[in-house]
Amino acid sequence: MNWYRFFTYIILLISFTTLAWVLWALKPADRTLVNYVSIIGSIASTAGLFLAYIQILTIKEETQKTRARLDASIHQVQRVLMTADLDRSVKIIQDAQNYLNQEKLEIAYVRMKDLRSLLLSFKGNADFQKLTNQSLFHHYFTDLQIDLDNLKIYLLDHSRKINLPRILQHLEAFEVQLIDFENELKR
Amino acid sequence: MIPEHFKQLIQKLSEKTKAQCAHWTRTSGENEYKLQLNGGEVITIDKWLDKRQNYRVEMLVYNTESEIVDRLTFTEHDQEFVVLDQFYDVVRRSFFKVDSTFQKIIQEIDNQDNVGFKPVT
Repeated sequence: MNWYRFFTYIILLISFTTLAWVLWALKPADRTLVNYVSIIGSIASTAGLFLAYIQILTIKEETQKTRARLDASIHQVQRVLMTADLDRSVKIIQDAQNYLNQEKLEIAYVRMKDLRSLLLSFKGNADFQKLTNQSLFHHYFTDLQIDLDNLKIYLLDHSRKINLPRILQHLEAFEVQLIDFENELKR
Repeated sequence: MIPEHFKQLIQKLSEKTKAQCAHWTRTSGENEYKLQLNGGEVITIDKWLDKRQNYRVEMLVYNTESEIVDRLTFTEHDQEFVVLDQFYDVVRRSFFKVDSTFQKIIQEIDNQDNVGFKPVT
């Protein structure tokens, strides 16, 4: 039984008991219709005040519970969206790795640029702060930026050689970090 | 003309690197090295042979947002090339631990009568 329902019953019981006692204690001379009406009215309005106060407390509690449930739902939706974004970034990394392995460097470059944009959006999102504030994230992000610069220069000027296995290694390390964070979110 | 802030940076980094106190790593550039500071800034140095068969050396400075904020590039025909090339060499030697390797080799040659591994037959 809820506490407010319990108190409602208590108030009603006290009210009826008080009413019965007052009516029983009335002198025969005072037993008039006007007195009956005024006694019943006084006790009913006093009980009504208490019941109204209990109602207000009930509504307040319900509002708080609803807000907590809403916050929990919002948090869950955020986690789902974050997981989806992390999945997307892992997918882009795998795409880029595939293109690099096939030496389709132009497409790999575009995919890596997509990855950079997505990771930049993580940086601007407060929900991802736990990930983006890690020094490793910054380290891998810098590697990605340098890899992009080197890849762009190589595409324009083949005299400046690049080391593809090293780019793959950087992407692999980033992928592991993102998957780790995703698993942490799912826990 | 090398800007004063670059001169200062090169001098301080050379000292740290020679003392093996700067942790340089390789990047995806074939001959490029990177130094990532704890604050998030990054310095890279690269040397390559360009299309006209001239050596070029380049130093880049990235800010904490991984954006290039300044660069220094010279070809071997530039007067200032030597300064940056020497710094590049200091970094390369530090990365491959050239000096300590030579020291170990010379120490072994000095301390042993017979040098070189002889397989037991």
